[in-house]
Amino acid sequence: MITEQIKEISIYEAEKLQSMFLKEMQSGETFILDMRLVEKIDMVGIQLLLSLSKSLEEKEQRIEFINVSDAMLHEIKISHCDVALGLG
Amino acid sequence: MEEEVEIFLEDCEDQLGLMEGALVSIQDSGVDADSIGTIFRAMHTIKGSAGMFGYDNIVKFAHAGENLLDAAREGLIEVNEEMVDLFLQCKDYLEHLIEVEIREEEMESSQKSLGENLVKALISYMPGEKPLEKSEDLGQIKEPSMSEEEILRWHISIRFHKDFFTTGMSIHSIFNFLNKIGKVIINQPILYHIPLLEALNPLHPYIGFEILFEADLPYEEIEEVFEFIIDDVDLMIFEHTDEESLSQLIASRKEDLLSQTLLDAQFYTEIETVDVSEEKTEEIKKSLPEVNKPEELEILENEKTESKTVTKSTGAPKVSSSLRVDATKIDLLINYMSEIVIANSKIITLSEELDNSELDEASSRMRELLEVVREGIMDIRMVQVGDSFAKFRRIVNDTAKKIGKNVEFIITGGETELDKTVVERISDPLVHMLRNSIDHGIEEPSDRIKAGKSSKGRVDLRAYTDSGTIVIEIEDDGKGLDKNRILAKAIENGLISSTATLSDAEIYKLIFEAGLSTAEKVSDISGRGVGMDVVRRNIEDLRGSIDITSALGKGSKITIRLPLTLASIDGFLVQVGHTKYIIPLESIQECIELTQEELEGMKGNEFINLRGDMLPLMDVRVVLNEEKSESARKNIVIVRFGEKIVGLLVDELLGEHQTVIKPLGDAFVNVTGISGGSILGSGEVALIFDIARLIEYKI
Amino acid sequence: MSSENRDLITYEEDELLTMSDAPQYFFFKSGGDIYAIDAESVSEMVEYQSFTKVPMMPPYVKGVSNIRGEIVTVIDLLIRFGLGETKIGKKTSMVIVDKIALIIDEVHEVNTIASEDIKVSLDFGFKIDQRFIKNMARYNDEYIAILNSAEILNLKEISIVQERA
Repeated sequence: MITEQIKEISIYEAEKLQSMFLKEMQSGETFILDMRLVEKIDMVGIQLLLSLSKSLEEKEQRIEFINVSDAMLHEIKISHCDVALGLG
Repeated sequence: MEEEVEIFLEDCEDQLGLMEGALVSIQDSGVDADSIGTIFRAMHTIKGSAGMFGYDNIVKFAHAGENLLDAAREGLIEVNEEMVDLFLQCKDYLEHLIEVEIREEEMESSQKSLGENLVKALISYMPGEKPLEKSEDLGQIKEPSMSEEEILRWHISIRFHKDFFTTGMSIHSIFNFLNKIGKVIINQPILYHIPLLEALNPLHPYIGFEILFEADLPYEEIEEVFEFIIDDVDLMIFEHTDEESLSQLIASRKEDLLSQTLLDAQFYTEIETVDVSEEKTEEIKKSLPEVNKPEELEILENEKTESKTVTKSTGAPKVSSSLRVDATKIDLLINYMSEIVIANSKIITLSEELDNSELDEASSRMRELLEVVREGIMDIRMVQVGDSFAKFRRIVNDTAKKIGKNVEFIITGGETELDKTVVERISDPLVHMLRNSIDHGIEEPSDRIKAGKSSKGRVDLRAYTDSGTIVIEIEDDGKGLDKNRILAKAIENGLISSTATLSDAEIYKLIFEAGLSTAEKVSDISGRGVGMDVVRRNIEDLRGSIDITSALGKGSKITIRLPLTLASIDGFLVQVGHTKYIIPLESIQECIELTQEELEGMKGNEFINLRGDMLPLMDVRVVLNEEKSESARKNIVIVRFGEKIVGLLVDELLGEHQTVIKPLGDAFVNVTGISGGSILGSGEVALIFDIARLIEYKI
Repeated sequence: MSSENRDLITYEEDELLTMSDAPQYFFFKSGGDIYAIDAESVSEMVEYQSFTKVPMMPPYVKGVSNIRGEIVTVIDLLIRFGLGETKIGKKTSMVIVDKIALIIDEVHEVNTIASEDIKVSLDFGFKIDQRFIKNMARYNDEYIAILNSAEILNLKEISIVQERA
């Protein structure tokens, strides 16, 4: 489970998060992303999460988001990607 | 400031300019549908761009204005004088609001309430509306009014170019904005291009969107939403019922799953698969980024020709450009161009030395072509002066109103083209001179009637081209300049000695000296005696000249002559001592040889007898401290600036030279008579004469 | 500005940067003496080339020259120091600082100066005007001046036009 201090899932953090996710995926457990500290998410971030979700599906795993704030949910909903991420 | 914000600001400035121009034209010649349309479009565009950037306060305010303008456009309400005043106030407020928003500052509370009151006032004019009592309603944006049967549904399909994310533009704000101007029924993200995490380049966009959008808006207005990202996306917008476009979309996207996705997302209940051959797909793909382009161009052309006639009569602004180019890019091109011209003149010199006729021919052809390209590039910088002139209309009206004078302001030649930099730099001087004309030139209405004139004064602003220069005239039918008063004042202020004998033109020109104002009462419009000297300096800095003629009781005319462009001139190359100089061709009258006879005839005086007239001579070698040259022959280049004629004594005439002007450097700012340098084919630097200053220096 | 020359300098800077983080100086000879100038302020060095005289300027402002398509001001450093005129020879060069080309005898090297070798300029009589010197430095067992280019190229001063003869 990733509880690390992710504050934003955005263009500025995307590459760092990508390698972090890849590492975390090795564990084979259910992928839990704690969104408690996330204050910013943009299209780059959403696309990254979508790619993550796809990769997990491939391995018959899934992603679970916890502590998603209303503001973040709203951001994701604007682009209607909430459904694909299992947040809809 | 970020580039996008800068573009936004420029765009707003353009739109506000158009708005103002149209409003003032209404003030002058009454309400017409074109002007209302212009104001509406400007308001609408500002709202649209502001929405893109998430400047909600601007959107709210512009929306209120747009609603009323829409009603006016539809003929639901009558536009009266009060409303025009209100719109002018709104324009000013909007200008301020945009500034504040861009700087991300808080609006001061007095301004805030002004804004609220303006919105209230706007709403109170709405058909069937009573003045609102609560301002809280103002914030809410009403959906654009649409009647049930007319609601249009649009299919919008977006894919992003590789660099989209790094441009910094946000697709979120587009979605938000779409929701503001209409209703997004379905927004289906297209996900099948998103790779697995290992293969993902997080900064590349793989996602796409298919949107079903409901709005009672024409195609152009929906496309406008994407204006700021249009170069960075593949965009298709078509009516939901347009099956042909749908087939094109499906064919061009080359996404096997697209039609199924669209069906699954309930965009359509069925999709007829039209067989589109590979060839046709390519064709469609090619045409994709240019949807509606030819039509757009046509519209622009139409508006342009239409505006020419409008400009002539009322000075109303025209739609000026279809492409926004960073000025530095053009400067760069001009720079390279001058390098090429220089390199080519080297080739020409060499080919002459080699005496190879084929090479000669080729290099001459090259020179011709370069000239065409150079002119083409220069032409990009040229803008019509009308846009800039139209802004003056309001200043004139306001000034006249303020001091209780009645003035008719007539602009002619708005379509005359001039280098954009020059246009910007003459704007302030022109404003100053126009204010002067109204304040000092035009008499009080009662005085005018006494003098047997119509109570309404007339100020003309004219532009036209004349032999390679542009001429701008400001003429009024006011009381004219009083020679004796100017003279008395100039003597009193020590500008001239009391025994000086001056021609009329010289006396009038004194008004451009610092510290000379003959206005009896100093108003806050003008009349402090500073300004006209600054005006002259500004014009001269542009290598221009300024002259004034006047007739007491009848009016005055100020004539400004400016070069068409700052970047290049046709020059004439001469040698003095060891240095080569360039004289702007436009100022040369003729070249003559100084004969021994004439030389003797001078008897030490600094003038010769030229066909019966006295021609003052200036020995460039002496004036500029050049070393003595060996050349036995002396040549005189006769130059004219305004009314003044002087013969420049030089060693050798080297012929015409296409001169690209380069600044000499800050170290030389105080050198009089030289305005810049130019690099010759040999690599040598030639100095360019500033004839106006040189003559001034001589006299 | 030419890219070749830019590259040349960048290359030298890079090479030296790997040696030390200390500021780089550009050493050159003028009137037979060695001087140093902050290497960062130097945009390029070129061979001496002819120039066009510009009238009315102080004697040390020789004129303007075309350095790869740009017009630059040419100043004779030695005249600026009041030490006579630079003799033009095979090694005569121009150092370009702020779009101004300084005529010098010859280019020496780009190097660092250890901080302990830098001394605040003293008030005793060095042969050039005190205001042109930023600091003194020990270099190859002799004291040399690190020049104050801002003062040497003081536009207010160099743009004063001269009385005509």
